[in-house]
Amino acid sequence: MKGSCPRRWFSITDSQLVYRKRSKDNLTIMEEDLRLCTIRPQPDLDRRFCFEVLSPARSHILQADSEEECQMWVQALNASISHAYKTANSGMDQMDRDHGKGTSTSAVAQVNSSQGNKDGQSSGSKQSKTKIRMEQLLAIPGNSQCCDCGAAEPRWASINLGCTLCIECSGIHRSFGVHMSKVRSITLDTWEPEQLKVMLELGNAVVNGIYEGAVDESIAVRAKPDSNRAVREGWIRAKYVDKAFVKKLPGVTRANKLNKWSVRKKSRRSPARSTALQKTRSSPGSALCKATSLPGNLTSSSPVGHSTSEKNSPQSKDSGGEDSVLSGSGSADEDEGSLTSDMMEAVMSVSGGSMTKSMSGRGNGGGGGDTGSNIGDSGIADTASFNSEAGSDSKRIVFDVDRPAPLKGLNKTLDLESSDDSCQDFDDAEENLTTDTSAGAAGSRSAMTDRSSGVDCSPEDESTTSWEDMSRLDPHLLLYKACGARNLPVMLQALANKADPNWVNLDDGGRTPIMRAVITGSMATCEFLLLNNAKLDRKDRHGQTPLHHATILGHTGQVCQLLKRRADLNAKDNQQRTPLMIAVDNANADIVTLLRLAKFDEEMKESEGYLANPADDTFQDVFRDFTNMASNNPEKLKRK
Amino acid sequence: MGTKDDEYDYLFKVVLIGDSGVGKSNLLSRFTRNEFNLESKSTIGVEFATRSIQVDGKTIKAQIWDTAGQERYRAITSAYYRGAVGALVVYDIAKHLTYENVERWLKELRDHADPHIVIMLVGNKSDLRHLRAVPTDEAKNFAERNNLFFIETSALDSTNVESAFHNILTEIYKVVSQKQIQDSPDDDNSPSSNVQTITVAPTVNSAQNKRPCCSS
Repeated sequence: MKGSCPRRWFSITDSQLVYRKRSKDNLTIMEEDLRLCTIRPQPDLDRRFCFEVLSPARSHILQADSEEECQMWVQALNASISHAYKTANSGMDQMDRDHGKGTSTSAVAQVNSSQGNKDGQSSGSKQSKTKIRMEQLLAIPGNSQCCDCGAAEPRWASINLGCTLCIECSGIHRSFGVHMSKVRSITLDTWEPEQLKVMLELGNAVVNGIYEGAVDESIAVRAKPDSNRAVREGWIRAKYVDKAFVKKLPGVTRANKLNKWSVRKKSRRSPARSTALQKTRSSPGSALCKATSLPGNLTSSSPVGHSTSEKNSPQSKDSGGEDSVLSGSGSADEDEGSLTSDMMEAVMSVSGGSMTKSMSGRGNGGGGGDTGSNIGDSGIADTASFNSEAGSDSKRIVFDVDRPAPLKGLNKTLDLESSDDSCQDFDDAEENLTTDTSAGAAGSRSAMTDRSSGVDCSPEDESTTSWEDMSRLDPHLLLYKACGARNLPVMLQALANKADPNWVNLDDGGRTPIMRAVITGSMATCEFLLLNNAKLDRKDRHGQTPLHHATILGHTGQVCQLLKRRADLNAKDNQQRTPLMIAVDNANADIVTLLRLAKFDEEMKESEGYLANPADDTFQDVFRDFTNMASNNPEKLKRK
Repeated sequence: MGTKDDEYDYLFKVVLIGDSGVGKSNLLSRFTRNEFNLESKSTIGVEFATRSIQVDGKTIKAQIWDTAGQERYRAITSAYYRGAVGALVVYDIAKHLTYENVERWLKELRDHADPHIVIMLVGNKSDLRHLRAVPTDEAKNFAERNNLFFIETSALDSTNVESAFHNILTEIYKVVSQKQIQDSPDDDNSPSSNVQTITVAPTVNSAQNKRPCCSS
């Protein structure tokens, strides 16, 4: 409350940097573990005697009273860091013997903590949180051993790759830079809930299935727990930097033809709806094609729902789709349910450009893939399972999405021509019925509303399944589609095959993968992309950024996620609307609050110069509230 | 101390709460921009504004959070109140129900805000004399019983708007500056407990003397 640069009394205790606001206050921990911090003098600031404490999550600028004190602080902190490392290495926790107990000098403090959690939880709950996190992480297949050398009890993680690491290998990961690997301590760091979710979706077995898909030890010798640094470095470089052991997708090289990827989607629809859909589908003028602005390239499949293969889209960028291949998986029992999946299939094929595909009715569907861990992303049941099926030649990733809400995503696919419909496409069912029967011209609209209401008004619908053979997608498109399916393992596979996280899908409104991910509502999918260098502020054909999309769809958790990374608040779409204007129009109080708060925080920072940051605490508090809510109690964010 | 922040000496966060339609947003716009809008819409979520005033030779910057009164437009966050040092609980003198609901808003403050928050009860729309439903004395007594400051305002004709904000900011300033006197100067400023000083070479005996808070 004391203006912009409050004075705090700092000390170093047990390798922690702590401070008090006033002499009698309790200690507040600023940095939990100095080993994770870098200390840098900041002689060039317009304040004097400043230095920076840089931790993985944030940066603090501290100002001392004099040049000497500043130097002393830097030395004391560095000494404490190296001491902490020594004590840790000798395996004993006797830090508080000589060094750990701190010097205390006064310093003026605390600015610019970008991101990151505030402290102040009791250390007890902190510990139990850490413990739960560790148990969760290590329970994932493969995670009990270092992903790279196999050492037992890894305590570090690469959060963008989704694997656990021993301390030695984590050091090498770090040395390659954060664009390759973002390393966190499982026990010492604070974790954003969505980062944990990313980890829970991947794991060492998945990562090595991809990055060690075709190991060639003539390139580099496999690292072992007792390998020296050079061996580890060679191995990790070949594995992640050169991606030398990644089995190439057919989309990359045509040589491997039997590598099959399928993304299976499950949709729910009532039989009645199916008929309606069929009407739409068989209606003249090919409504779907119209809707997706790829006229005339959709070959109608037989209404009985047999496996169909479709070639389409001369506009397609995809090179892999000349041959039609039936994967035939799950072709055993096809029933009337496949009508609707057929529909969905068609949608997918149009949006995806030319590709080969096959589909089936319920095939392996039903509850077949429901074995994954249910992590309830943003209130959407989300079950995923990763199966590497036997046979080195044919590997299939089965992904099962139980999605009541995210069919909105498909709306968006259909919605290319009319973006202003996107927030009001949940019209009443009557309209559907009329448009359904009238068919023809109104086709695009009817297909769209159909889809959403089919979801909205029939929660008890039977499940139908559609298959998509992704075997020949190029990695970019694979990444894009995997985003839509919220399938992190396939996304990682695509990235390992050098998919561009900022690829623009010209066949889908000029959207990037992050937009596709935002539309699904999955925070983990977004987080994974953001951790892998997805850009926040690209615009699609309608001039909309990911933040626009999240706002339009009312995805509070993702708005929060994007704002935490400082997405551009003032970006205007082609209709000159900012996200805030959209949120106000939609009367979405939570998103309005988040956007205004972020804006206010920005303005305060501008007017005060970057050293002062008075709104920062509240900003972070509110954002943490919402992040936690979105991750742990998404139902609370569902209102109306 | 700093160069950029001598624009103000103190920054206080103040929240405006009360039922929907009592005139919170107009109080804010009257105070910060000298504007009044008869047809203003419901606030969605929260709106912010700032204004600096002089108290006791010091510049105080008020950071005012104008929150939605209507339940469905309120964001689900307790952070409305976090860090707030003052609250204006507003009711409409022409609508008795908004006065009755003051109890509820006070409870919300008790639940979420700092216990030392300075609270002022504000009876707005004092220009509606012929429609008055809440007698001034009644509200005044209620405020006294509950240790609240009290004022009646009209955002429409500007009556007392300036005073309302000025008074609450002054009260906050008093509390804060008193606190500083209590725990600043030389009475044991070093963190009291068992902290030893470490010596780091090359050491110039680490400074133990603490000075009072940054006086920017």
